Amino acid sequence: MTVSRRKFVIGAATLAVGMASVAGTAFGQGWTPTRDVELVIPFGVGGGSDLMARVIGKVIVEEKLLPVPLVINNRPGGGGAAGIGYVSASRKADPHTIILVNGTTQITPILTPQAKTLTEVQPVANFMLDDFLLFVKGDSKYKTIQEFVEDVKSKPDKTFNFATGGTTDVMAITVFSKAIGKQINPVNFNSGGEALTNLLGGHVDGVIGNPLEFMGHLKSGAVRALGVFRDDRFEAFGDVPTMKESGINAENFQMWRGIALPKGVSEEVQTYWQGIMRKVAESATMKKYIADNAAAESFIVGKDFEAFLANQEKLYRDLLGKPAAQ
Amino acid sequence: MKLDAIKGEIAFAALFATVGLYWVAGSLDFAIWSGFAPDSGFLPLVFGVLLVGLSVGVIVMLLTTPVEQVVEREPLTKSFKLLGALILAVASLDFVGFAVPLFLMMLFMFSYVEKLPLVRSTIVSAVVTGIFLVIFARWLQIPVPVFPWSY
Amino acid sequence: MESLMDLAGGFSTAITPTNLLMCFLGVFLGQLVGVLPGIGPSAAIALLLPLTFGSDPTASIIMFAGIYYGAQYGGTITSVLLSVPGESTTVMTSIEGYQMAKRGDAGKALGIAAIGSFFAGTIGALGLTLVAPPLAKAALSFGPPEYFSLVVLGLMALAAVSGASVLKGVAAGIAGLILATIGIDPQTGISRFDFGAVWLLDGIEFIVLTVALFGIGEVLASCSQATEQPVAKVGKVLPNRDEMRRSVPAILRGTTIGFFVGVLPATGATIASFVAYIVEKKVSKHPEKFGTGVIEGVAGPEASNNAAATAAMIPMLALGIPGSGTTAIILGALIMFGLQPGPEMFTQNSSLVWAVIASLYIGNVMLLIMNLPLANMFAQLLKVPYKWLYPPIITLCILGVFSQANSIEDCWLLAGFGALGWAMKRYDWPAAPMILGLVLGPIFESSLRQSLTISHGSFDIFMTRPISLSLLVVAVLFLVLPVLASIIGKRKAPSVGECA
Repeated sequence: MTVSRRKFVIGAATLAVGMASVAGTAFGQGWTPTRDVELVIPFGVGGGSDLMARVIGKVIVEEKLLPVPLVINNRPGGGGAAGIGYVSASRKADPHTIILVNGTTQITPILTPQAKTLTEVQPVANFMLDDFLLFVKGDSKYKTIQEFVEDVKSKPDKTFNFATGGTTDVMAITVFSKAIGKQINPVNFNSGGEALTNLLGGHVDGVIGNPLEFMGHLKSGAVRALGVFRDDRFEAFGDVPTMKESGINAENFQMWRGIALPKGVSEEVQTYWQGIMRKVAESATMKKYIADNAAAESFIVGKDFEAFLANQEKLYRDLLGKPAAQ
Repeated sequence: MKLDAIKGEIAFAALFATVGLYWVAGSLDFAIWSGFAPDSGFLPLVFGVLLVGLSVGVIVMLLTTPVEQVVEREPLTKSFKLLGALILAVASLDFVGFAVPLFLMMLFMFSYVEKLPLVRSTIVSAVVTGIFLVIFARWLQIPVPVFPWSY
Repeated sequence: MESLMDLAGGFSTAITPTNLLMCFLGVFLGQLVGVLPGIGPSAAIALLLPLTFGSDPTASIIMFAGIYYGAQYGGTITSVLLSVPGESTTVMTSIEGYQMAKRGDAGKALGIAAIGSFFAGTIGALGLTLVAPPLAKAALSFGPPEYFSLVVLGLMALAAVSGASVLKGVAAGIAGLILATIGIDPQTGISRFDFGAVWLLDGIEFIVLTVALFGIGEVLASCSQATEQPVAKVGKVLPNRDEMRRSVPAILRGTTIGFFVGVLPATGATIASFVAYIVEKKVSKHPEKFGTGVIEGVAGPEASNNAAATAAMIPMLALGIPGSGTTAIILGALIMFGLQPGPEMFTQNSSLVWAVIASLYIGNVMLLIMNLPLANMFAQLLKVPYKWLYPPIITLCILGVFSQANSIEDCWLLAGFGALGWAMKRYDWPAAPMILGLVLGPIFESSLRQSLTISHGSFDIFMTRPISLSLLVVAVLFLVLPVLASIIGKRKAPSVGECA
């Protein structure tokens, strides 16, 4: 269906600006978009992934990366399932549609059979990785991860309660429980903010989560980070040891956020969008956004991204105890 | 005849009871209790049972209410016309965009249901459709598919 | 008094022309999105966020805050005039306010709402000025068991908003709780009662049900008299002396309730307005008149939702934790501006924090000045005969509900629940308990499951924690007192009979 979409033009001047930059000169040969591009966000306005998509949109518009206007369309619902479903059903092989994808859109179909999986879209590039840290309250008696783990090991399974802000936090707890051989009792909340609130209120013993909501409290000493689930130390929090260097053999656990196209688009189109996303990733705005969110830049593109996703899928399925159906 | 006068009310209460039954049946697909706490099926089961009980209670109350207390109801035809127009409009939103169905829906209500002058009805419907679409689609930048070709 | 010095500093920042303009823009936009059902302050802020990226954080946060509390004023207008709640926080207003409007008192309803909101907003700002940090710390002691008991107290209120038939009211409330279980269970991530539809995975949105039951239901129920229905008189905006006398205590109670409920993270202005309405009905000398257009029933909830919106900024500014969906987005904005929300906000970003607090005082004055003449202007809308008015109302409902999630399926829900709302009106089933059930359902379920997970399965957790226990005791009293009162009343009744 060939259609023109005039949805949600970012900024009033976009159209004029878009038309002014001569179509596709920046990328030379191959495919270039000929009509409005739709950026689908499979989440409601205001969340972390929505903000990142809007930053991508802002960079594309401000740096005039596209010869056509970019329109943003939020399709929230079902942990990303509604948005993926929308793209796979009504935007098949449409090179003028891009969609934000993240770990949640990969996890939802594992838990919810009717949700469309990421195999319904064509991954283009990943922008960033969110890290997971283990936090305790600032006045906790545990100063190091070793002290904490020893105490956990000395008590029965599930003695310790950890607040979670979503499925990914639960999976991080599973990673940690596996590494120390004792189960932690997850108490599920709706967001990282709620998990933080309950940690500060002393209603739970700890949290494993993304640093975003915790940064201010970490600096002020209201919460303490005992360890991070990655290979090397964090630039932002240089004094937080990694799990591995603390002698805890926990798998690396990070969440990704990237962009995909509808399934069935040509190689040319993919190459074009990979080029655009590379420019977005290299922009100062995007770099600042990632730094402000205490996340790690991780530009993975094309086949590498697909391989990365296949790995993540296996990891998630293992953690959730739902191995792929053979 | 008493039963005739209240059969609509009874059917309505029975609808709520049916929803309750559906929830009771559906809740059994899920675990009721796991580990320390109730699982996904627990509260739907409790709520379902409660709704069935309360709805049956309402039916019993209706049957035991003295006849003279049954209230006379106003005629239904007009409300059904409006509801029908609303449903038709919503059904066509997905195919022809918002502008045409909203305009036709209002025109139908003004000129057919309310028997208002045709010319005024047409003008008012067109102006209201225009104003609302400008507010939502342009000013608030909601991705409303306005026209048939807006998909 | 140190805080008053800081506040003075805040005022000097807030009255620069740019900040005044941003404050005005914020409250104006807030008023606009508040009027429109389906689009709330959170959507408006999220839409503006990328545009403000890179500009002055103070001015932007002043504007965002303005949108947030401005929307509380705006939501009232359609609730009163059309029985279409513009915001979730103004549902209760559409019960009493719409009845007042039908009587010709639309101006008064809007007027008292503006006055009540102004008072509550200003007192809320004063509270924010004086006691924010200690209060925010105290709010942290609310864990899952306390929320559970608070929700139990709220559910006891089902009967209070039931109107004539308590049985039907409670059944409708349970139906609301049932609707709340549709979609992905946030505790386990698996989906329930979705009828195989992907678009139901997120459940039924509160605003969709509200607009359908109140907006469409009202139109379908009252259209049969539309032709004869006389044009409503549009009276004065300012309430008379007697109405003022009744409204002042209601505003005071509403402000207090709103402030303390709003300061709790995760409850918010919607529940505050429900609680305020119930309290007004409980303390009223004529509870039977509620539902027929009682001015206290507008004044209390309206004051309450504004106080709550202001109080929700306390955990945000003092601790860096979100007190509501909208403040969560403002927090996201702070992060995008490179600030770090946290317990140090008051000290590290004191000029921003105090400028925002000062702007609350200014913004509320702007809103009062804007709303008193506007109340009169909007009330003139009712001079349009109802037969010319209701088709545009239906159109507004369709567009508003669509824009909530850009979903046509929600429009189907609108038609379906609109028909349900009509039938409920026809058979005297109250709609408010169903909405209350849908609001409280998710908190009820998660706090119950969270509490029992924390306590390792022991129900003692609800009894051993003092706040939780006292809330439960109040809830039991709510239930038992009317019964006791009626028993005492019955004992007295024969003696009265003997006298007569």
